[in-house]
Amino acid sequence: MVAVSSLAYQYNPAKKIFFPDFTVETGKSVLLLGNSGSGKTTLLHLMAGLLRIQRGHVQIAGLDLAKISEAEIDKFRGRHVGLIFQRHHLISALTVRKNLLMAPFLADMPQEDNRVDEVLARLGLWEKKRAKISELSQGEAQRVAIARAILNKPDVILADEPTSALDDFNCERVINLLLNVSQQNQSTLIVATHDHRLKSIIPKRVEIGDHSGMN
Amino acid sequence: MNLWLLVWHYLSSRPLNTALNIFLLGLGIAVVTLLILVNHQLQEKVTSNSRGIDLVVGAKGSPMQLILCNIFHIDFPTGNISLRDAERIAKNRLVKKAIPMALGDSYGGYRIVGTTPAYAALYDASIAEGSASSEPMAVTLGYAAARGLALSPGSTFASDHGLTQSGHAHDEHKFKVTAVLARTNTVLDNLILTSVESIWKVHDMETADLGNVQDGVASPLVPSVAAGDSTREITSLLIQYRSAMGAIQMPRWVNGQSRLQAASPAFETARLFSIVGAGVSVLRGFAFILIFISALSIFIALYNSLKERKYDLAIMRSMGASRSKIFFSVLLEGTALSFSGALLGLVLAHLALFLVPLFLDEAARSGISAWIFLPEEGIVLAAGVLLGIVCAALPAVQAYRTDISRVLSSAD
Repeated sequence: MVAVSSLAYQYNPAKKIFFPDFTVETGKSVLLLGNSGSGKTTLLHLMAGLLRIQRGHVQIAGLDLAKISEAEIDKFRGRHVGLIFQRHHLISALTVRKNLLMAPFLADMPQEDNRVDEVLARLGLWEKKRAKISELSQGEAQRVAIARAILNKPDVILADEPTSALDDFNCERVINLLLNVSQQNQSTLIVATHDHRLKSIIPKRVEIGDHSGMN
Repeated sequence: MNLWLLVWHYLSSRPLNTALNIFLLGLGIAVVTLLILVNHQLQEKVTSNSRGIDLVVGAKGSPMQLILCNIFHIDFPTGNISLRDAERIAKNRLVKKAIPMALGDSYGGYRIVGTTPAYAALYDASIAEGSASSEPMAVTLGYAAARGLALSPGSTFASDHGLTQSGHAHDEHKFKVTAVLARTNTVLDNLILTSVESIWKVHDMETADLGNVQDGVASPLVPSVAAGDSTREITSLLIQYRSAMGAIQMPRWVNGQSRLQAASPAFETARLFSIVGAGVSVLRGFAFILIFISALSIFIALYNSLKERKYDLAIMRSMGASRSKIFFSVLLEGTALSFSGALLGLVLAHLALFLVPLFLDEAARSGISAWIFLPEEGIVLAAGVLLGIVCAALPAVQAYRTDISRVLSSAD
């Protein structure tokens, strides 16, 4: 379960963002909707522990992110959170397989080849296992990024604009893939986007921006 | 995956840059190591070659030439001194041992030395093959000379006049090899030893009374001739003092005599090293500039690759990597570069010492070995690695401090 309450973030005295309270049940999915600059990415980064919480609470997998140390947040992020971005951000010096193995390595978890094979097979990337990142198409790279995010069976998958750069066909394909893998893993899926095509697929949504303002 | 593998993939993903950095550092380290190795071995050679010789007495000229010629056998003789003068020096009460040297001929580039068995004894030489003979025209070969000339006991040869191979041959007098010495790792290995009488015989100085001391006393230096002989000459006299008092009185006494000069091996070699030292300093300075440039190059490479890799680092953090893991990965990359460079440098230095003697005879004669490893090389290696750590420190700190949230949101 993911719960956000009385959360606010201040970049500088002139800009303070307030976020609405919401909860998402384990295994469910939600859209974070809002225009550019509304604070969607900030909220996602707060939930991933990439930004320290200044005010309010984020609870994920029974942990209150406002109350644990930075080292514990790193560990929490590696084990419980899978992050997906608009761009794939794969490490181009490594092969597909080694990019995936980075996930358990960096999270100090056992590196299991079986798990890599399983995830790659599920995402239709089996034959790309030994490929270099530069040899992948845009769509394949995005799927590898998804594979990497779910490899550690995270409790929460946080996706930041995963479909904005894609055409309708690929947009639908990627969002369905995300829904499928998160259901199989019993992960909570949170998608931050301004892409209105997703509204028909994920009904539950949280509007960001109503509560933000100058303060 | 592990940190080593990650670093390896990063380094091998830009092979040219990595190779350049390793090679640049390797070159600098190689020059420094080469200087250390050569300097150490030369010092050792100088000490072992002049062991037991306190003073060289010869004809007037350059004292350094006297030492280079009579101890290291690389320069030309200063001239001759009369046997009678030499005897007077040898009989001085401060002299414990006096060894006559008659130089000037060679064979196949190896110098022939007319002397007494005491000369080989200075270097604790033992006979490997055959048996030494004091008969005129019998020679004992040094280890390297026997190898280089492909001679063994029983072979005969005619010497060349002079110290170069272009001198005319003394065809009328053949030398006969009777013994070969075991290796001593001193200058003795490159010499052809014979008696002083043989040298005289070759140069037609033989007179009827050679080997026939009838009246009076035998010469203390060359027993087969009478003491006080006024016609015969030798090149020099190697002297060992009886006591430290000799070092104070002998040189002044010898130099006071108009036809003679005395030179101290210790003093002259120290002078030689201080002259050569200037060249060594220039080389060393050059090596340090090379190392400095390579350090700068490693720093710039890490710094630039960090810019390209900003997202990689942020994404690694987003996957749970701690700040310190990122810090160590960058540090490890610099260390891996500098360790490889330093190791390459050591290998290059030894390779150079191995290869140069194959193409240069002079280098081969110097007896410098590629297979001597010094503890200083460990220090060079450690210093090289430390350099890498220092170069990587700033980029690593920067990686440590990366604001992942900002990097990731600026990318989208």
